[in-house]
Amino acid sequence: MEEPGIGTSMLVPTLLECGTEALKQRFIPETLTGDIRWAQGYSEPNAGSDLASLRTRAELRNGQWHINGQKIWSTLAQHAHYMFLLARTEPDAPSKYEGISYLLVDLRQPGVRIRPLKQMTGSAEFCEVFFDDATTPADWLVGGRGEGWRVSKATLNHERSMIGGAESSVELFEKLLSLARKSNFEGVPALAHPIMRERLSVLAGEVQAHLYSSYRQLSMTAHGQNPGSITLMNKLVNTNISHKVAAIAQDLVGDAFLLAPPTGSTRGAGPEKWNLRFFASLGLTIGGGTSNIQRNIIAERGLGLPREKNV
Amino acid sequence: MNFLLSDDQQEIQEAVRRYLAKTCQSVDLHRIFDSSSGHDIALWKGLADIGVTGLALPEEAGGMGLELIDLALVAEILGAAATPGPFLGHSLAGLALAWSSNKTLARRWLPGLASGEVIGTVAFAEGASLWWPEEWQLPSAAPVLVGTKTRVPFAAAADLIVVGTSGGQLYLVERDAPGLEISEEDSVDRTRRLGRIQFHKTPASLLTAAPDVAERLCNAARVLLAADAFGGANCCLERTVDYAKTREQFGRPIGAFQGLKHQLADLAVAIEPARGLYWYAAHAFDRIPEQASPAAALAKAHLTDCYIQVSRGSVEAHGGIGYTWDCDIQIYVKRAMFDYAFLGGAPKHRARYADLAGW
Repeated sequence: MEEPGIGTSMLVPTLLECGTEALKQRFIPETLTGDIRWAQGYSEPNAGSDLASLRTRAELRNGQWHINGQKIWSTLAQHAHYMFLLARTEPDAPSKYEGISYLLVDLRQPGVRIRPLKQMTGSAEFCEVFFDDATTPADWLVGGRGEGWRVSKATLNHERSMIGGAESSVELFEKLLSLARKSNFEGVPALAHPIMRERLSVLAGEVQAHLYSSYRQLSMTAHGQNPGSITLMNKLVNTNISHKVAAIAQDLVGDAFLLAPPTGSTRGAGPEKWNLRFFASLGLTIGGGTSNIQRNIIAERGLGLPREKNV
Repeated sequence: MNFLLSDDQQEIQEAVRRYLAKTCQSVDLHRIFDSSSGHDIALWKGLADIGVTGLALPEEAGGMGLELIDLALVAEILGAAATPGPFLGHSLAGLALAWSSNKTLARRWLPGLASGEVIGTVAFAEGASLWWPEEWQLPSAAPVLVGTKTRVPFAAAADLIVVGTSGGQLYLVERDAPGLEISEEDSVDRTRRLGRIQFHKTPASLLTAAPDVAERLCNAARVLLAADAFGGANCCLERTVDYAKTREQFGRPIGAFQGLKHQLADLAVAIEPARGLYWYAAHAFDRIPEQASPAAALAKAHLTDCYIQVSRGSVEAHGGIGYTWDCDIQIYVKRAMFDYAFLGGAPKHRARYADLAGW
């Protein structure tokens, strides 16, 4: 039931790390069983890569938070029961990073309006969510007042490690190999064509490297060692692999590249279904922090290069 | 599965690193790079003293009896310092002797190889990029060899030459054998000089007639080249990051500019996750025989390709100074060229991987 990722992979670890006992009891068990579904409320129309400039407000009045503003790119919010969101609660704080709080909100109330956004794939996974004096209990706050930025970083790390999982890269590569086994390329079986063998071997090097790198990170973590800057690279490595998979698949599917990919069960599921992965690899460069933001993080936090001013 | 180095392995790496930090600094490196032979006897002797020359040779011959993973971990550190000298050919010649069915020869030569007093090398290539056992054409006609081998590492400094011949056999030729003509090639990587050897009815002893031994020797070479490439690429990146933090233009360190940051992040993403490729290839060589050949081919192709990419990126990030002979980075670029082309380039190894993967 639970859409993989959002509640189990992102909110639960954050609650375990920063939540009150009451919130853990209230939400974790039913999230794990899939009885409660979550949406993420971080990005806003004017707060994308510069997330900390977000403007959704929450004011505490009569023991309740009153929320006003707009969130965007909330995955599957139309099917979610609750949202974890970032809102500005201390408007007079000295910097944009302070004064943000991490709140949990019931989406099923009159002050919340959800509008699905149709994506380039043709289906609607993302939503805009509008808050017009929506309310939530005072103690549905994760971490302290004004500490939401720190809490959200914990969640983003969980999101990036979810996106950067090496197993998903290995699985995707295996699917690409099965596609290659069934496909022709320039009139011969694709796997017999030297160009395809070369391109697949190049990719195999990256996929195997990513897999062993994940083993090493796991082993280090299990032995109480810090894997270091490599953890910041996983998402970009995974994104790069998915792009190469898409580029090879685009040559394997032949003229099925001209067809719209299936949405739901409305159309066929021939080789054109790879067009969905072609699109999805683009989504991966953006979700959870764009690839260029990842490069900033790797350079600044991983390699120790000077930080951008005023950011 | 535990994907970590042991304390002993880390200590070996640290010992070699400490030694090279004293003896193979930039000034030493350039002196040897510019010297006529490219082989510094004091540096070699120091490496021998800490056990590098006999690391994977049997203990009864005075070696340390360790495995290829340990040798590869040392190759990484030697690569990081762009260490000049005959380590690659010497290590491979030692393994060939240790695996030889001719025990008399092994007993005679292994102690000297382990101590580093005898220098070994391997003669694989035959021109036209013929590198591999199934490609060797030099006739296997004991007791004398007739023909030519090229791209032989430190041919001029070697006391013993392990020669690959038709059918994937391995012969041993001694330095003072009659009919041996050695000439130096003008090598791009002056830390690993190459030579050409002509055999004019040169006496040679058969080490092994089993082609799977020659194959295994080439796999060891692939792993050592991959490890060298990882060490070198990693060092290029570190040096370039340091340079980007200190070099100022437009009133701030160039590393503060997003354009350069992103280039350096991409280099880090190319090299850092790839360490496990050579670890796994060495481990497979030691413990998972059926995986040894594909893992070695993939590691060699991927890491030496990365090394070219990272060392070239490092020159670019250094600007004009990076293009000069006096800058260390040019030496790394040339090490990358050696690692890439020695034993055949990335496409050749990727084609081999595709074959071995059963595609």
